[in-house]
Amino acid sequence: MFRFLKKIRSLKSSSTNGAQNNQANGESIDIKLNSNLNKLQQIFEHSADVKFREFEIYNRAPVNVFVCFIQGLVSEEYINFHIIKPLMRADLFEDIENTSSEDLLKIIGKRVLSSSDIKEVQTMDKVNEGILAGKAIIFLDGFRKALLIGAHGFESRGIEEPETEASVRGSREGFNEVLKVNISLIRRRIQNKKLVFEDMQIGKQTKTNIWIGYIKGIANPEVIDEVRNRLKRIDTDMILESGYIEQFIEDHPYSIFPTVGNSEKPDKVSGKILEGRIAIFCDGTPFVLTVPHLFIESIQVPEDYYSRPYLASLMRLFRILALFLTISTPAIFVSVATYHHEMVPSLLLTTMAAAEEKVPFPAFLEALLMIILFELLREAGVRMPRPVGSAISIVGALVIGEAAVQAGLVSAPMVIVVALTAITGFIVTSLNDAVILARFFLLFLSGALGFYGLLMGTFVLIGHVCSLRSFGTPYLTPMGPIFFSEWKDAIIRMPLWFLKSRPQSITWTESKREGSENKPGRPEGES
Amino acid sequence: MRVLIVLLSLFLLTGCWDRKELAEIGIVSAITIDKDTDTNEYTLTSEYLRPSAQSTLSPSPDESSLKVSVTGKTIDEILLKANKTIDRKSFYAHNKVIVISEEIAREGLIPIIDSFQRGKQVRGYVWLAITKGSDAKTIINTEGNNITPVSANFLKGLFENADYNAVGINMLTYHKKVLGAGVDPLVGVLKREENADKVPAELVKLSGGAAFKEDKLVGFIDETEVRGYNLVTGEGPVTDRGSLPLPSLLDEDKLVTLLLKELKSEIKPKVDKNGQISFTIDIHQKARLSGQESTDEFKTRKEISDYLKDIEKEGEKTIKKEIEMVIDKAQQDFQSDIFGFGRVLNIEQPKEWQKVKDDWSETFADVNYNVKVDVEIVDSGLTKGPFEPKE
Repeated sequence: MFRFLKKIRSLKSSSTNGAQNNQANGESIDIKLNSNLNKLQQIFEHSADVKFREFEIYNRAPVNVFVCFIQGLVSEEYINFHIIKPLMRADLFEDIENTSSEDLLKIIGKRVLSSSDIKEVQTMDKVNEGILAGKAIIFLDGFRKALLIGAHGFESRGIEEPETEASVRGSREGFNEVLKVNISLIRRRIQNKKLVFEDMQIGKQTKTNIWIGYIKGIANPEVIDEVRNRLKRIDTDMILESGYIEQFIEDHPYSIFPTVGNSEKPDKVSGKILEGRIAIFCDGTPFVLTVPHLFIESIQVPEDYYSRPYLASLMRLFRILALFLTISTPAIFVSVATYHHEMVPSLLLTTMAAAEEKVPFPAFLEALLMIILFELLREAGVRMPRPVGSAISIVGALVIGEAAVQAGLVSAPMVIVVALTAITGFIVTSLNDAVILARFFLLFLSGALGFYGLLMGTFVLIGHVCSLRSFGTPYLTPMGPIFFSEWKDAIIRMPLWFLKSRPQSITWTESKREGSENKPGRPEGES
Repeated sequence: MRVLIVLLSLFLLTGCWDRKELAEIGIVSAITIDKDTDTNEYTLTSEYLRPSAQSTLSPSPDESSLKVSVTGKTIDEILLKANKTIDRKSFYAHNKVIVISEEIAREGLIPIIDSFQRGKQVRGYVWLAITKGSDAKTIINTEGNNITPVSANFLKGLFENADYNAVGINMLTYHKKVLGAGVDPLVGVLKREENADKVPAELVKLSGGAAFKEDKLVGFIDETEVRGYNLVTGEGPVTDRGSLPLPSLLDEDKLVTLLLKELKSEIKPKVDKNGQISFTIDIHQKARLSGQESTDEFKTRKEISDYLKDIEKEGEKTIKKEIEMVIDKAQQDFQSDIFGFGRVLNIEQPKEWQKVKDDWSETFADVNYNVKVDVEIVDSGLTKGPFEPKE
């Protein structure tokens, strides 16, 4: 049955591909202006935002010209003043001697238009592409060529501080939705000729621009090839966000753990590129993907490197603690409250029992209820319109708080447990989806089997994480396969002058990033 | 698919069998065991905590614990029966104290302890005590000097505060000593005292020790003797091992007090050519001069040091006397090796031990011993000589 469906599907897709190819082979530009105009008007028949502007230029005899562009994608001011105006001023041509009509297009390109991005195109296909990409096209009567002029002028968000990754110290810049801007943010940080950006377009319908950024000589060529191949393999209608790409190129689509990283901070992405990772930029989203992505990256933040190493290392330890707590606190509490009463101190047990006394539900149900409530609240907080925000927080405080305890629905210790789970859940946000699922998984296990189940679940989780890979690098590196040299920057961060080599697990080769005499100190001879 | 079924059954068919919600269990905090000698039945009185009375949010006005007596032929039977008398399942893991009446102790504790140790419902680290002169259950029913409302916590507090002249022993240690060769247990004694002149009029006190021979109670030793016992075995608190009042030597009827600090004690076995076994007890006790009643003043440093030496000698004499008293009592009255002389012999000279181990209690009763005490006053306080009122 399934196979049959698959067959049909593959048949269908191949037939549509064929149709497109026929179109793509497309015709070249007609010598007659009117026929080109008609053709374009036919192509963009119902698109009101595609504009045609016809006028004449004078070269001994009047030549008919038209400009075509999409309103909103290009700057109309630019077209008025830098394309139409110079072309209409016919006297410009007078001092050009021996201008034959064959050279006219070239001369316009070379001497009249002051745009930095001019390209001659010869097929209608290229013309369409150019128009859709936000360029203006100029057709001249009597030419089999047309001029494609970059005149981007669409509105975009400014460079703002990213909301998902706030920082206390460090750059406040965040990517925005425009690919060009995002690339520039990286270029500004890495002024290196070996920094390379390859472009490609993915999405049969959307034709989204995707750029791959890496540093030649640091990033491993095999990984680059793999990234290229995986991207090329994508055959889909649309790429609306880098999340689409992530889901098409990840190593383990069935795993709850992410094997592709993402960030909206240019400094973070620069750091990753400099470590030998590969960044994938996608037009239309501020989220840039980085591969390979390891587990340890979830507990590392750029600020670890900007501040001095001592507190940064402690904070990394705390993040691991938070990760552990947010996954397992409800499970541990439920196990203790239903199976292992002997494991808590007597005094705590009596207070727990006293609180539980008036609650009608078993501890497991109580925990489940509270966690689900919290997730609902969180979702509401994300989705709600901003003006009603305060209402949610007031109601939320009631639902999982004192009021719930007084209503006798949950016990006070359970509120603490859920609060702890929630708070610690906000610390390691990049693993959020894995954490929430794992939390439920362990909660169910410990509700049924106590610590035995909790332990079994933990083994399953750890075993699973051990089996993961991201673009050739084991997910738990440097702990999974042990790379002692990388422990300097894993769970703790050693001082910067200690981190002499680039991560071998990413670059696959030994390479130095620092000289050997980097340790700061007092000048010699000073006592 | 088959794997999936196996995995699912692992999760769905197992588990939950020992699930007990907190609101379903009755937390037992203390157990006392008495025996009716006529019917040969045990009475087990348990103290159940009432959590709602200890709630931090809104404590209920009920009493903070519930005491229930259950009678039966064996301890195991009673432990099961107990569930029928209260509305909760008894939960013994948080039990703190087991108090056993003197009569049962004289018959032997192993049958009792066995029920607890075998099933592990009760932990090994539960305090074990014998009552003297009263029923075991009156111990948890006497509310004279409790600060905490739960008598188990009160009793636990007594054991934790037990210092130089009281014995605190837990069930595991007792078990080890009973089963171990060459040593007999000394168990803590809880005593109910009534005295209309004192406040409170009735109270429970941890004092002295109950000497066992194997698992049977043979007699009691008083507080002074317990101090002697602790000095020999090195048990008791690490520092602040109680105070020792001594004659001041300067004035008649005036006393000086030594606060006993760190103790080093060692039992050394010695076997001479005739196979005669003897033991040397080597004690080094650090002390602090913590109080002086007489008001003389010393002129020179030499006088001070001489005086302290005299006090040290005085202390040595007293300690030696105390130790000899308790060892003599153990030898003559009990024939019970509560100090573990036999164990030391076993460790140091196993061959000799093999010869005497079968009738060790008789051998122990007339073994020679020699006590060497060295008291060292390490600190006489910051006061320069005693205070002398000036006229």
